[in-house]
Amino acid sequence: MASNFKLGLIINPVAGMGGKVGLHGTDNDLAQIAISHGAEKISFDRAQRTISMLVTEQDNIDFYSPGGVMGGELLEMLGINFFEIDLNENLYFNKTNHLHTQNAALKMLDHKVDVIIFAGGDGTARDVFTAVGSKVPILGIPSGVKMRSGVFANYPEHAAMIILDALAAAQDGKNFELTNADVLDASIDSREYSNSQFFGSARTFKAPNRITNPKVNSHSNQDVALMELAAHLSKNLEPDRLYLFGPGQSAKAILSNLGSSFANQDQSGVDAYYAGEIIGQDLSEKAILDLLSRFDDKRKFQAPLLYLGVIGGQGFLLGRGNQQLSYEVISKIGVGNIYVLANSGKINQIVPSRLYVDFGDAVHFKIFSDYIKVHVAIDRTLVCKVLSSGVQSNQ
Amino acid sequence: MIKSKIRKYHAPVWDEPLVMQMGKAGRRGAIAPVTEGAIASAVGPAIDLIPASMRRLNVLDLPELSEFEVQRHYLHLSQQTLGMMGISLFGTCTMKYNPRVNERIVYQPFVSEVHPHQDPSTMQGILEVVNRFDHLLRKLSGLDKFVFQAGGGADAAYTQACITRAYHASRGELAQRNEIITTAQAHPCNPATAAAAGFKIITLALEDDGYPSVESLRSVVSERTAALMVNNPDDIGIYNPKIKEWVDIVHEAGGLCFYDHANFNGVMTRIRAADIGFDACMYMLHKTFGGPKGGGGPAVGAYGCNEKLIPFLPGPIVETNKDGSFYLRDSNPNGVARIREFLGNIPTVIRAYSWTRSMGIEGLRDAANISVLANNYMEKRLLEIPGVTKGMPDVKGRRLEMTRYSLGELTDQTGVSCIDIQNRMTDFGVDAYWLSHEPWFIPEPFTPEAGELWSVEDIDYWIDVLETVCTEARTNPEIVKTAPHNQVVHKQNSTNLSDPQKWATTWRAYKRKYAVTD
Repeated sequence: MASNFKLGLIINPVAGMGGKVGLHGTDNDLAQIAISHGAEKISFDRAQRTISMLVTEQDNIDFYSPGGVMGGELLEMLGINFFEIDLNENLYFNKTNHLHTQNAALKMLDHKVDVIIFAGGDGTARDVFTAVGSKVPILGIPSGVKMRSGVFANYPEHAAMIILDALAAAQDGKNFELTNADVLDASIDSREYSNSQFFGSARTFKAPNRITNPKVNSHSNQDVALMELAAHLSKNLEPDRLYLFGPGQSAKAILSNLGSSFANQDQSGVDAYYAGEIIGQDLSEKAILDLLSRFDDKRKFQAPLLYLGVIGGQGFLLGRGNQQLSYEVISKIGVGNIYVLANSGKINQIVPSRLYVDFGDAVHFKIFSDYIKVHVAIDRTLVCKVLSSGVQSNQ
Repeated sequence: MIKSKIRKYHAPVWDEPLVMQMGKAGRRGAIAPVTEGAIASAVGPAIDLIPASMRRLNVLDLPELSEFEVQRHYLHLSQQTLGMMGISLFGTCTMKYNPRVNERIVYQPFVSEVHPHQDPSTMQGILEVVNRFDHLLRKLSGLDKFVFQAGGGADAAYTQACITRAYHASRGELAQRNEIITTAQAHPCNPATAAAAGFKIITLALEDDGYPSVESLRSVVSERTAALMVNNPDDIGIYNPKIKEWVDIVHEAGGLCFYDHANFNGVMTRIRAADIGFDACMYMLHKTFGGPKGGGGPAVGAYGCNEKLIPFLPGPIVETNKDGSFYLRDSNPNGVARIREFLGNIPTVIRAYSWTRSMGIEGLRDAANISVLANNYMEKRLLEIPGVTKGMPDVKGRRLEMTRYSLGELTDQTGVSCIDIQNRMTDFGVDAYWLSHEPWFIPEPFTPEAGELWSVEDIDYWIDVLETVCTEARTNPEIVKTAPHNQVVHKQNSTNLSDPQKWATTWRAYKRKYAVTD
C-alpha cells in the first residue's frame, strides 16, 4: 500500500487579530497591542473550518503539527491523531513568534511532508517560505490581516477542498498540479496594502478558482478614467452626509482631490469625512461603529456613504486588509450605501467574474446580493458577481 | 506534429532611401517644350496666365529625378508593402479573398465616376443594387429595412446609439432611459458609441459559462434601460444560448435590443436577428460579405432594423416609386442626423451584393459550416502544441468560428510573449495574427479565424509555423524575441515615437532633428 498523504499544519495563533482594531497586522509587538485593544482570536477558528472538513479522511492523511496553540490543540479537539513536531518549549498563545513558525516548517521538511498548510497572513507565509523555499508546496488558510501572496485559499473551506482534491489525485497515483506563486509582504518603506514587496516564489497548488491571485501593485497601472471619476465624486460630496473611505488608492483618490491638505493621506486605513473635514483617520471597527451611531439621526443627516475599492488582482471587496469594515459595520451602513470603485483593468483580469467578501466566519454572508456594480469611470459600471464566505464558498 | 515543409521566405528589402534624399540637381522626368512663337504672340508669356498673387517666388524644394527613377522608387516601396496574400487567420476580422471580378465591376465608370450630387434618375442602377441588397439582408436577418451609410461596424453601432436616443425621445422617455447595457466581451465600439451618444454604460462581466448570467442582466435592467448592445458569439467564440431570454428581459423593461453581428460568419443562415427578437443588427460588408478591408478599401457597416425603428433611420433613404424606379428620400422627420455623408461607401455595397449573389443561400450556409469546422480542426491541432491553451478552458463545449487561445504558459516558461511569437511568424511569410480586443482577459492572447476561404493545407501550414516558433521559444528564445528577421524592416526602436526630440513626421523636421544637410 502506498504511504499516506503527509500534511503539516502550522497555526499562527495571533494572526489576523490586528484587522478589526485597525492595526494592519500582528507582526512583531503589534500582537500585544492588538490583545490590549480587545482583539479577538481569529486563526484558530479559521483553521478549524478547514481541518474539520478533513476529519473524515484522517485515516488517509498523516498529520504533523506543533503542539498547543500552533496546531496540536485544534487536532486534539477534532479527535485527529497527529505526529507532534517538537519545538522544545511550551507554546503559549501570545508567546509564539516568527522563529517558531520557521522552526516548525523546517522540521516538517525532515519528515518529508507532502504539503504545509498554515493559518496566518503574509507574515506567516513569509516565515514558512523562508524555511522551506520551493521544496514543498505550501497553502495558506486565510487568517491574517494582509494576504497579498498567491498561496492563500479564498476561504478556509477552499483550502480543505484543495487538499481533498490533492488527496484524491494521490490515491489515483497522479500528481496534483503545482504552480509557482509570489510570496509578498509589506514593503520595507511602506505598510500600505497597496505597496508590497516580493520575497520569492513558493510552490503551491494550481487551483485558480480556489486560490486568491497575488496582489498587484496598483501604482503600476495609472487609470485616467478612475482618476477622473474620483475628481468628479470629490466635487459632489454633500455637507449633511458622513463619508467613509476604505483602504487603498481608489477610494483615497477622492480625498486627495479635495485639496493639498487632504493629499498624501495614509492609504492603509479607513478614514471619515464630514462637512469639509477629515473627522477620523485609520479607524478601528469600534471607532467606525461609534461614528455611525453619531450620525444616526435621519432628520439631520443623510445615510452615510462608504467609498470602497477592490484589492487589485485578488478581487477582494471585504476581508483583506480592511477587516475593520466588519459585518457589523457593513450592515449598519447598508449595502445600498456602498459605492465600489476600481481600476477597470484590474477588475477585468478576474475572469470568470468574482468579487469576494469574507467577514471572517461562515455565518455572516447573506448581506450582499449576487451582483454588484463597480464604478470604473464616470457613468461606467461593470457588473460583477459577489461570492461571500459561507454557503457560496463551497463552489 | 508538423505536417508540412516549412518554406524558406524572405520579404523584399530594398533599404530604399527617402525620395527627398534621391536624385541630382537638374534631373527631370519630363521637359516641357518652349512655347512656340505663334502661340506666345497669341496669348502672351505663359507666366502671365497665373495671377501675380499666386506666383511662387522661390523654386520648389523637391527632389530632382528622372521618370524612371520615380517609377522604380515607388515600385520598390510597393513591393515592400503591398500584396497581402500571406496566410492571414486574423481573427474577428474574417479575412476573405476579394474576388477580382467584383473589383472589376466597381472600377467601371458607371460606379467609379458617379457623383454624389447626380440626379437620382441618372444613377438608377446603383440605387437598384442598394435596394436589392437591402431586401437580401432583410431575408438573412428577418428585419425590415437596411441602410448602408455607416462607414464600418463602429459607425453602425453609433447609428444604433443615435436611433436609441431618437426612439426614446419620441416617446418622452429619453431623460429616464439613460443606461445602455453591454457585456465585457462585446466589441468595445458598443460601449464607446453608446457613451458618445450620451448614455451611461453598464457592462456585465463574464461568468463561469463564458458569458454573463441572466441573473446579472436582471440585476441591472430597469425603467432606466434604454438598450442592450451585444455580440453573439463574442470574440472568444462563445455563443450565449440564453440570448432570447436576454432580449425578452430587456424588451419587458422597455429597452431596445441591438445585435452586433460582427461575428456573423459562423451563424450565417443559421440564425436571424429578428427571430431572436432583436430590433436591429449590424453586418460588416468589408468582412463577412467579401468586401476588402483595412488598406484594401473603405468599410461599410450595414445597419438593419425592424418597423418600429424605421422612422428613425438616417437619410438619404433609397425608396421605390410606384413605377418601380427609385428615388432618394432626404431624411426622416424624426430620424437621426446623417452618420456619414451621402449614401456611404457604395462600391463596397456593390461588391457585397455581387459576392452574396454568387454565393447563394446554399453557399452562405456552406461557408458558415466550413468556418466552424475549420475552427474545430484548428483547435484540435493548436491545443496539441505545448504552451498553447484555450482561453477560458473551463468553458466546455465547442467554440464557433473562432477560439481565443493563450500563450501564457509558454510566456511563463520562456519569457517569449504573444507579440514576439506574432513577429516571428511573419518571418515565415504568414501574416500577423490578431491578439485580442481590449481589455485582455486572457493572458498572452491570440485569436485565429479561418473562415471558409483557407484550405486545409493553408491552415496546416499556419499551425506548423506557430508550432515551429513555439519550439524556437524553448530552444532559441532570442531569435523569437528579436524577430522579425526576414521581413522588410526589423524591430523598430519605438522609443523615438514618444520622444519629441526624435520623432519627425516631415522632411523639414527630419533635417532639423537629425542635422541632415541636403
